Amino acid sequence: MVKILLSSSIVFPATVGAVSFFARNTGLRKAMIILSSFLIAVISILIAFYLKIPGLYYFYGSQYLPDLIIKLGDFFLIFYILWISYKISEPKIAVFTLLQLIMLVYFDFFVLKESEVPFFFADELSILMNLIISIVGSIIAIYSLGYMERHERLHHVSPTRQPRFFAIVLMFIGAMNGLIFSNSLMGLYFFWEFTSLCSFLLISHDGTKEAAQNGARALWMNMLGGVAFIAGIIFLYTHYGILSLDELLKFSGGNYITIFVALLGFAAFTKAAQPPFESWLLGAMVAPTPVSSLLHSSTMVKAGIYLLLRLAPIMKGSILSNIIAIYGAYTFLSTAVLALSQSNAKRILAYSTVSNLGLMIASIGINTSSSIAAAMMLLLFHAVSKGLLFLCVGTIEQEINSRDIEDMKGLILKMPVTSLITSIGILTLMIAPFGMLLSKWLAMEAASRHFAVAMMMAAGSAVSVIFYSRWIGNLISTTKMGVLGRIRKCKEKLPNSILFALESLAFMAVAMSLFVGKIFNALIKPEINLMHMELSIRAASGYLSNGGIGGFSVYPVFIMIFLAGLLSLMTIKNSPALHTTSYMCGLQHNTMDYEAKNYYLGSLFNEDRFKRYIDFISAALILLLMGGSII
Amino acid sequence: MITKVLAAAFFSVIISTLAGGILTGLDRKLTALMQGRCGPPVWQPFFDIVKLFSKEPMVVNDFQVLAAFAYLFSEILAVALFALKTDLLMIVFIMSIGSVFYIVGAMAVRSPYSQVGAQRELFQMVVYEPLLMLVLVGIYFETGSFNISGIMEREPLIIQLPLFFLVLSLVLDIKMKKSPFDFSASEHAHQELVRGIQTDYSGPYLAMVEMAHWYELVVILAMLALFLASHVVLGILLSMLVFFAEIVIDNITARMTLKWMVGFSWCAGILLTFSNLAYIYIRR
Repeated sequence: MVKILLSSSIVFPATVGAVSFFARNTGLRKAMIILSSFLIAVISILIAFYLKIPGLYYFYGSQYLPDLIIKLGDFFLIFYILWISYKISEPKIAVFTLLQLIMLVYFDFFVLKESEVPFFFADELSILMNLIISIVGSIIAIYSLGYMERHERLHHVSPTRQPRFFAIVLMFIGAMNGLIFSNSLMGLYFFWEFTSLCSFLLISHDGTKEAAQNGARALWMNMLGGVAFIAGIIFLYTHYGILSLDELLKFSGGNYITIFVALLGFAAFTKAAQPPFESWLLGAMVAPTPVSSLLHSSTMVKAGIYLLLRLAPIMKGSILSNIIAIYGAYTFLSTAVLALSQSNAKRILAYSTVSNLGLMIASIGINTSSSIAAAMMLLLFHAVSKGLLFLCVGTIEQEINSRDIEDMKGLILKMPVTSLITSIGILTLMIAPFGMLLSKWLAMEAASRHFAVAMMMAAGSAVSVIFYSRWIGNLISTTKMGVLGRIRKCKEKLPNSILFALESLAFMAVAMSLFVGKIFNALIKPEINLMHMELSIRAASGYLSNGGIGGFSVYPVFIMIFLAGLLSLMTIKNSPALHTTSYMCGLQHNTMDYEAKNYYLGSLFNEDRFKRYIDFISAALILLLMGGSII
Repeated sequence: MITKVLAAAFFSVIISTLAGGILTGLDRKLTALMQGRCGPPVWQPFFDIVKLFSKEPMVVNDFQVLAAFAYLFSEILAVALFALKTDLLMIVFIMSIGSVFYIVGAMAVRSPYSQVGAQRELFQMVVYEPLLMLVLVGIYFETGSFNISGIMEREPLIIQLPLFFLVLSLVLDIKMKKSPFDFSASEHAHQELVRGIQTDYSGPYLAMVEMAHWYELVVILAMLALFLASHVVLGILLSMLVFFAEIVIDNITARMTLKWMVGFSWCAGILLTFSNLAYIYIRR
């Protein structure tokens, strides 16, 4: 039973994807995608309930077939990517792919001895990732139904390219599930490369010149990561004979194991778009927005974090771990500052995604039980809230034809539902008592022994408050008097699929924060025990206690916000306040609107100039990390 | 148990309301005396609040109501949690909820004065928030705890962390919006910024904002007093001394620019904290 579930979590989305590629009938395809999205979510929930974890499982049906498929698939992928590099004439892709090909041939034919390992490895971390991928992924797939239809209408795409789009999206969901359940490192590598390919195909989906260029950049950077990945695997196998995750987790440590960690860490950094590789994620914003939401904020970039979490126990207590903590904290701060200089909503979200991934990396680098817990919680809450925000931007963009937050002034009167959901989404990322902040609190307390890391974390999180709150400010600011009355009269028309996706994600973002204690006890605590760590954190309903050091109670804050909301609604209703115009120092004029734009401090934080320094310093840190691994 | 907690929270809020009001009154009186005026009675802030509450409520954007309530309530919660001796970092996070709502409420109005004020307040927040967290991390470094109850068991922090105390005083100055840091809401409404971030809060909502300021002031003064927690009276005296110093500084300096504030405060803050850390290491 569980074998079927696990196998189908990979095979089912992939099959539906393949079928939907050939489904030319729009209605049929839609029905199929809705049904299968629902099924994918159900499968992940069933897995979460019925799987005995931690555990090793064989593939359903055959043990050898999947291994064989992966082996052949590796070569197929590499040759396909080589063909792509020829077609778009980008030599960098070819170079890195050929390097991988050489290593792969060397490894598969000369080094690797046949051995039989179970295909699946599942523990709480895989379950957590699986739930994120399957549930958030399905919701985003459903959103795409409404979005892509409008998208193709707006861009006059004909004949429709939707079958291609949904085929890749669904196959990607399958591949991600494979990545996080895979026990063999070669399987992990195969799915890793597969997601890189999906990312390329989806970034260049619209077929414009810019899209092709940015897709190519994403692909070569990820291929570079792939080179490090396969090199790391070969190193590990030749020195220690380890090729599967369960052996790796039991591994007690060896002399040169840090080299392996550094190589895989490097691969993780490219996947998570950490500087100096952040440019591919920024470029990826040309893709249709559901792609940015699914691949480039909630799931694919998290594969890097997943890998680092797997490596955390091995690198515990090493210099390497400390360098990773500093590197992560540095990217957290620096990319938050870059986001500060942006007014393009998608770029703000992209930079803040890189920044939050940096925070997770810093928490993993600190490598104590609380910080690992913080990283896992950040992973979860960030996926939901950021995924939601990207969807909101996509919806807004299709309506007002701009993604600039300065153009979103007073949007609350035009698109009340979307604006409110966007504001909620932003708040869940920015203020307590929501999960993101709770995890940030945990990360901060865990970082307190590393003063430099704690300092950068504090500064970074304060900087992110700026660009988030001025966005909310823009959404709700109006020149008209009063708001609630006008909202009631305004009807916003959204396709059902879009409305469903936005509402369910917003609901999840808030509800998960309410039940943070339960989530912690169910998924995060056992995982940390599995890593053989002393767990100092205790969670009760709505309360996280950090073992004598501190504690955070969520409920009073929720009650406080609820009371504030309730009382303000009651005041507005019971004693209708006099609406007045804003104070203009006597310069009121009927025909003239006043404008006050946000501060972007372009002179202080010039993106181009600043980015060069940031890339330079982060490259130096990565070099230091590589050097530190040899010592 | 729960009634005890609620009672403690309730009393702490009452006391800090009184303390916050009187301190604000003292501030006005002392400032007036320094400027050679007679000044209002110390009770004036309470009269102001009563007056403001009795005014007809007026808003431009309905979100201002929510902003005022959320600001006030989160600061009240911060006071209560402080009195219950809980986690300091959590208290700072809760205080920042209020600040965010306060700022967003001002941004909801399209008047250039409140818009500019709100933007500046954001940058003030970006300066004082990390410094405040650094102070807490420093305290944790020394005491091994973020809980106020844990911190209070230790010997006077001021001996070990004198420079962190200075950083916290700097935070207080920025938070009170005193010169040279009065960018977001100038002290007197007849300057170019009018009343900045507060311009479009009026009547009862302005009263709530004012009261929230009182609580913020009390919490930060209490944090200062925590540096001498083993001798409560001395600790309170110490924080009063800092409060008086802020008033003096306010009256002898002029407003600087935003960039200067970011540069000055971060440089000073980082230098002070690192020197203090070095000092701790040497003493160990």
